[in-house]
Amino acid sequence: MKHRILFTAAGSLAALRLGVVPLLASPDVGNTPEPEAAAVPTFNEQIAPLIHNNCSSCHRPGEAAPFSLISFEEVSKKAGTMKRVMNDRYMPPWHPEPGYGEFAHERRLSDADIALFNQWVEAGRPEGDPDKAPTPPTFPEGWQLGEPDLVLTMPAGFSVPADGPDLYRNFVLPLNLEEDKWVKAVELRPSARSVVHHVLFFLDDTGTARKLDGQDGQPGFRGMAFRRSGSLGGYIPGSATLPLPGDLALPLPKGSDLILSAHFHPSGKAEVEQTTVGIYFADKPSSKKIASIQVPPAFGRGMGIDIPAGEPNYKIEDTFTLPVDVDAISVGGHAHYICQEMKMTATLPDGTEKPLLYIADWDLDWQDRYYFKEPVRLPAGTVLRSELRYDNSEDNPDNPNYPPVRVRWGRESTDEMGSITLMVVPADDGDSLRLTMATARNQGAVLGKLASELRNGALLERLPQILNSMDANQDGNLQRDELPPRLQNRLFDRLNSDGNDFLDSDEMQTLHDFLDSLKARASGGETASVSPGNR
Amino acid sequence: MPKTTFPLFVAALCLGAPMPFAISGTPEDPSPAAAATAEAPADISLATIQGKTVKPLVPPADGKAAVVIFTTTDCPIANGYVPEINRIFSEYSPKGVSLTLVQVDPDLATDEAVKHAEEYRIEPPVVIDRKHRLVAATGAEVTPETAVFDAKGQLVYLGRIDDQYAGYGDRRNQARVHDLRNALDAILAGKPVEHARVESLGCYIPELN
Repeated sequence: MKHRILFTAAGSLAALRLGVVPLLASPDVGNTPEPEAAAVPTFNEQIAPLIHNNCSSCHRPGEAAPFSLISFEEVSKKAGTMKRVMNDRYMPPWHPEPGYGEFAHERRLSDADIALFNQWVEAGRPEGDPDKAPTPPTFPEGWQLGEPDLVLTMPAGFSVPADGPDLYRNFVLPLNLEEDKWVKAVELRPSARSVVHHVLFFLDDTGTARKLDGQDGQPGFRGMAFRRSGSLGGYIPGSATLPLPGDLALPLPKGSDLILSAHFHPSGKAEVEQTTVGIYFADKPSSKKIASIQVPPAFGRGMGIDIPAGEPNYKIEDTFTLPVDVDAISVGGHAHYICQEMKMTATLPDGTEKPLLYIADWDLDWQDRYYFKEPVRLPAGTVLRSELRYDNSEDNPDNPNYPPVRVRWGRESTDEMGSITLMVVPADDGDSLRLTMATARNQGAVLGKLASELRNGALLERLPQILNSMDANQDGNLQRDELPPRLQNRLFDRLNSDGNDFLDSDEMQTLHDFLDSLKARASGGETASVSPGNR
Repeated sequence: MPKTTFPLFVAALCLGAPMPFAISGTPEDPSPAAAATAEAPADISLATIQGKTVKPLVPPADGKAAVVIFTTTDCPIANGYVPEINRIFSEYSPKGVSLTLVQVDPDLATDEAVKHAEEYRIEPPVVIDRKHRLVAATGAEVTPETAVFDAKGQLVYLGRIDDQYAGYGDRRNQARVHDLRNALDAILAGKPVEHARVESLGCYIPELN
């Protein structure tokens, strides 16, 4: 079912490398140097450590997973299901293929681990020597990272019905900060864990989201019709809340509201979700400015994604050349349901290929950001290449359309998009501006000419407000006829990359990002004049 | 060895479309595992969690079919089906079809089952099959697998409710093939069930120790 057409050669190489793991090699406790041929694993000796290290952090009371897996009785009762989902590699949830990027907090069982578990089940799930019973693992209660610096709770609960399709909803949490902050981590504690599938954290410094909040009678609002002025990562059940490495932090300017962009799965039981969020601040600004390099930019909006109904093997590919030396911190992809594979590879100036991420079985439900075990140094001139493959056939169980229909780029879950984002910091902080400029140029390439026409600083400064005021019907989108005629072709047609009859928030975001980069260049120019080290 | 059995599961899943499922045998030829311990369907009576004695595998008087659906309180796939189970119960009860939800965790206390039924608003009667008498009589292996018996006491359908789950974590927005409803419609129309065995995807029924 899961086609691996695009990257078959590389995929089988990786499989070969991994395939040499001896089937029965167990993570031995070390008391038997010579493996006994018929040694049967027992819960108390081999299985409990395996489960406690890989399953119990989520499968315990009060956590996101549906049942507890700690005691012998619990594990023994679920052994059949566990064996099946381990062999399916559905659990533990970990989507990057081995051999492509080395990640911190990898939740992947080795073939040997799975073989050991299979062996235990087939042997009748023996408990083993009671004297060797393991002490149950201990986990931090409540907040994983300790007491947060700022705790916020949704003022009202959001009702998730028992049944029906998945729901997407944004919630606004006013922060009312009196000064700019730097964020190390954000942790989320859902109240109805079984229905919260994932949550992304965005910032809004315009107040638009506040205005949209609750307009349909339920807390929050649908869609993405607000300008995202920043991002603070996301929450996915089963993935650890990680502080940013070293002294890196993400900016949280005062005046920003936190927007929780949530995805709910109905569970069979009506639930009310009232999320609590904890924010951990850095005590000083980030040592380096974190930059996001999205390939292709704008979630593939400019790639002309147009996938015929039934097409099992539709590919897009894009590249970005690094202007400066960078250290890659993390990588993550985004696409919708019918994306099947995604891969990012770095080709260094000397021709060396460095695989950064390969997801062979993309699942929107488990979109995650993967932090490299060690920062990956990529020199200037490195070419980042993203390849994505879509399966719009009816054989793809994730295809939301049955029978399949033509799918084009768009933000609805039945549309498609796709890109891979590499989070980097410049190796030399003085290169920050060049990096920002290059990524912004990439994002806003279509706007180059507009920028030269708008070299008038005052007009630039005012453009966002001007545009905001043009949204006559206040729907968060700009219809073509909301703009004065001379801007309709100069601005609207350049920005309107999906060819519909309005500019949505993503298209507006391209403009905002581009204007920000121009402003950065203007202020960076001043910095350069007093800082000889700058290029 | 696991390495040899696993690809069979995958192969079975990969076919996707509804298909007769070979593992549990046919109605005329029950699988050896079921035959060894199974009682006659008509002999099995259990108390519902409300305290009423029922024969879950016997259709109502003048009725045509008896449906049992296996579940546990903590199987997310089975729990996700409760609204559809309620719909099937209310649509088919007036047509002479009985439907019973069967809890299969041998350690489940009655008050826990009651609490679960209230939380999920389960409408059909619920029994707790602690000795796996119904499991043995049907050959069910996972939750929410479903078994249908006709008025002659024959197992005429064993399998999934529908194809909403294409794999673990692969939940379609909507089911495409409604196997249980199709089976019931066939029985009510006096026709043979086209696909009498369809693989069911869910949580494995725990073995009794």
